[in-house]
Amino acid sequence: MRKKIIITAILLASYIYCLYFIFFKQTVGLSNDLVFAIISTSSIFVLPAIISKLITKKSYFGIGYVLSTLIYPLSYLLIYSLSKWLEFEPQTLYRALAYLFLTFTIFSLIFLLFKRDLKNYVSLKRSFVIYLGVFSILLGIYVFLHIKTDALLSTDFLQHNAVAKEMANGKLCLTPNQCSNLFQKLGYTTYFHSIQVFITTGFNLNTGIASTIFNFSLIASFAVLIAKILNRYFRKKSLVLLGILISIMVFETGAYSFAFIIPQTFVLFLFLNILSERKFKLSSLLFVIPILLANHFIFGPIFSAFAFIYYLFHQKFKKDSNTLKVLSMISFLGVIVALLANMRGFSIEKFFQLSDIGLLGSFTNYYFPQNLSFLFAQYGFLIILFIISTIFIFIKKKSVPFAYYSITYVSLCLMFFFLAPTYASKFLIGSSGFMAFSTIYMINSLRFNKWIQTITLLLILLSSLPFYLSNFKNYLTFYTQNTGVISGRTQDDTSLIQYLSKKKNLECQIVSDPYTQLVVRGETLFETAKGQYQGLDTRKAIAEFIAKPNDKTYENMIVQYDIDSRFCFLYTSRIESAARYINPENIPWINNLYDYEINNNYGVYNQDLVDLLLNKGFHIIYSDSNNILFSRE
Amino acid sequence: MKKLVKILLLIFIILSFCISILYGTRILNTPYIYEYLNNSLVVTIPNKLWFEINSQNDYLSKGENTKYLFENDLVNFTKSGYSIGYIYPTYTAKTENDTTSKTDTVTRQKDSLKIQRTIQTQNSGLYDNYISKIIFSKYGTFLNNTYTQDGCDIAISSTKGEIEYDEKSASVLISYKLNEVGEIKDILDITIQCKGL
Repeated sequence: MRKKIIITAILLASYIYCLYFIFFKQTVGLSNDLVFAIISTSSIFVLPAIISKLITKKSYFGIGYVLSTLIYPLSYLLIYSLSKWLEFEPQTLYRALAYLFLTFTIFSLIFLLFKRDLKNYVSLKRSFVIYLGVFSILLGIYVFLHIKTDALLSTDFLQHNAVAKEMANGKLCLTPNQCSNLFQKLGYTTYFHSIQVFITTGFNLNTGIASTIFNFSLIASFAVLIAKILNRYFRKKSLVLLGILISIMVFETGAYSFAFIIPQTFVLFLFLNILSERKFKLSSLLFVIPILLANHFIFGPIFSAFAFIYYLFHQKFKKDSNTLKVLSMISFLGVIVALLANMRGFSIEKFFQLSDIGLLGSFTNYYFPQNLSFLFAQYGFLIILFIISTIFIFIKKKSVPFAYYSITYVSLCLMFFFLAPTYASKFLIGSSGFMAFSTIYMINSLRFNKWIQTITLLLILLSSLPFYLSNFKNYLTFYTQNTGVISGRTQDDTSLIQYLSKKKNLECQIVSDPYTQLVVRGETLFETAKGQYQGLDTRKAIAEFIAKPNDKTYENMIVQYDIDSRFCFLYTSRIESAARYINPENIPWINNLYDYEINNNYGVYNQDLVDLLLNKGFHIIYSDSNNILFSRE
Repeated sequence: MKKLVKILLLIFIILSFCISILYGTRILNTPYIYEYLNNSLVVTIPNKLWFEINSQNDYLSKGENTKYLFENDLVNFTKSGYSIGYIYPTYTAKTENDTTSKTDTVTRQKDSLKIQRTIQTQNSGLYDNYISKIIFSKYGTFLNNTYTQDGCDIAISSTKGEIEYDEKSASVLISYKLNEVGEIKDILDITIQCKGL
C-alpha cells in the first residue's frame, strides 16, 4: 500500500506541476521546461495504453494499444471538422484536448493503480520503474556527450513538424505532401503527424525539447515493451533488464530503431506491440494491418509480413519445432546467398534502381567489404554473438518458437541489407532487439551460475556501449555547430523564426539556402523553395547571385523551377559562407543534395546585393547580423 | 562438451569486452581522418574542413626565384600499424627524384599529428630556402601559428622551419633555411581541436 501511495503521490505531483506550469508559467511563447515536457509527452504514449487496458481489460500493450493510437488521427479529424463547421480556433482545440488527455491519463493511472488486481499493480510498478530508468539513462548519455535536452538532433523532426503545423492551422492533410513540399516521395499518411501535433501545438513545446523528449518517450516505451516480451521467456529480472539495455544500446544508423521517433520507428513500436500480445489471432492482425500501412507505406507491409510470420511461428507451428528450425535455417541460408551475391557485385539499387540513383546523385549503400565493416561498427560483438547463438539454437534439440522467430527476423533484415535496395541500412530496423533475445536465450540455456550469467550479460552490454557512443558521436558531427553547441537549431535563427511566426499577413514563398528553408518551413507556416530538397541548380543560382549580385545572376535565380513568382528573399550568412571555400567545387551544400550548411554566424555584409534588391522593388522587412529578409509586399 | 562451449563463450565475451573498450577509447579524441589520397596527405575534419600536404607543391626559393621540386614525381607511401581505439596507423611517404629526396613519417597520438621529415637536396647555392605547404580548403584566420575555422583550431609547430600564412591561398608555408649539405631534419606537430567534437 505504501508503494501505491508513493506512486500516486508522484503522479499527482506531476499533474499539479503541469497545472501550475500551464496557468502561471506558460503564458506566452513556447515552452522549454524539461519536467513539463517529460510529463506531457509521456502522457501521449501512456494514453493508448490506458485506453487499451480500460477497454480490453487485459493488457496495456498489445493489439489494444495499436488500435488505441487511433485516438490521435480521430482527434485530428474531429478538430478539423469542429474548426470548419463551428469556426473554432484549431490550436485552442488542440491545447484543450491535450490537457484533457493528460488529465484523463493521470487519473486513470491512479484509478488502475488502486484496482484490486495484484498482477496489474506489479505490471504497472515494473513499467513505471523501467520507463523512468531508461529516461534517466538517456539523460545521462546526453550529459556525457554534452548534449543539451533542448537540442534538435533530427532534421526529420522539423520536416514532420511542417505538416503538424499545417494540421494545427486547420488544414486537411491526409498525406504529408498535401500540406508541405518538404517530402520528396509519398511514404506515409499523416497518422504519425497527428501525434506530433499534440506535442508541439497541444502542449506548446519548443521543437528542440519536444524532439528530445518525444525520442526519449519512444525509447522508454520500447523498453517497457521489450521487457514485456522478455518476461515471457526469462524469469530472472537481471536477464530482462540487461536484455532491454542490450537491445536499446545499439545505434542503428539509417534505421534509428531505438534512437529517434520517425514514422518507420513508430511502425516498429506498433509491431512490437503486436509481438507482445499473448494470444495472437489472425483476425486481430487484420485489424491492425491498416494502421501499420497508414504509418509507413514500405515498413507497414514489411512489418505486416513479419507479424504474419510471427503468427505462423506462434500459432500454426508452435509445437512443431523441426518445421520452425527448418524455416529459420532457410532464412539464415538466405543471408549467406545474399551476402555471396553482394560479394559478386549484385545489388538491387545497381541493377533495378538506377533511375532513383540518378535522382539521388550517388549510391546509397556500402558494398563488400565496407558493408561488413559497417555492420560490425554498428552492432559490435553483438552480431558475432548472434551468429554463435544461431548455431547454438540450430544445434539444440528444441527451442522456444520466439528463438527461431528472432533468427528469422534478423536473417530477413540482413538479407535485405545485402541485397541492397536504396538505403538498405534502414532494413536492419529493430534487429538489435532480436539479436539480444537470441544471445540471452543462449546464455540462459547454457545454465551458467547465476552470478556468472549476470556478469556475462553485463560484459556484453558494456561491450556494446563503446560502439553505441561512437556511432552516436559520429551522427552528432552534422549537428555540431562551430560554437561547440550540438543542435540542429542555431541561436542565430531564433529571432527570425519568432518574427516569421508572428507575421500572419505576409504571403510569399521564402527563398534562401536549403537549411534555412527547412528551419523556416519546420517552425512557421511559410512555404519555401522546396525546403531542404531545393535543387542543385537553384542552390548554385542563389550562391552565384550572392557572390555577384547583378541583373544577370538575379534573372538566372528567379527563373529557377523551385522559385515562385511571388517570393521573399532571405539573405543569410549561410549563403554567404560559400565565399569561404577556396574551390567552389568543394562547397558541400551546393554540390550535394543532402549536404547543408548548419552554421549561420558568418555575418551578412553584401551591400551590393542589398542595393540591387532595393532597386528591384524589394524592401527589408527583417534584419539581424546574420539574416536579412527582403519582401516586395 | 557443454562445459567446453561455456568456457569458450566466456573467453570470447571477455576478449570482446577488452577489444570494445580499446575500440571505444577513440571517442575521446577529435574525430579527424588522415590518409594519403591523390599524392597528398589529406586530413579531413568532420566540420567539413580539410587540408593537404602535397610534396608537388614544395619549392626552393631565393627572393623572386622559385623552383618546384617534385612537379612530376609521385609519392610512394606505406601504411603500417593497427587502427583501433587510441592506436592510429603510421604512414611513411617518400618522394624522390635525381636531385631531391623527401621522407615524411606521419604518426598520430591523441589529437596531435607528428610528421618526422627528412629532406635531402643538392644545393647548388642558387636558393636559400626550401618551402613546403599546408593547403586548407577554406579561408580562415591565422594567429599564433594556429589556423582557425568553423570551431576548429589547427596548431602548427616546427622544430626547424619558419611558419608563415598566405591569406590569399589559405596556405601555411613552412620555410627551411638550406645549409651547404642541403639536409633538413624536422618534426612538424599539427594539433587539431574542435569545439564540441
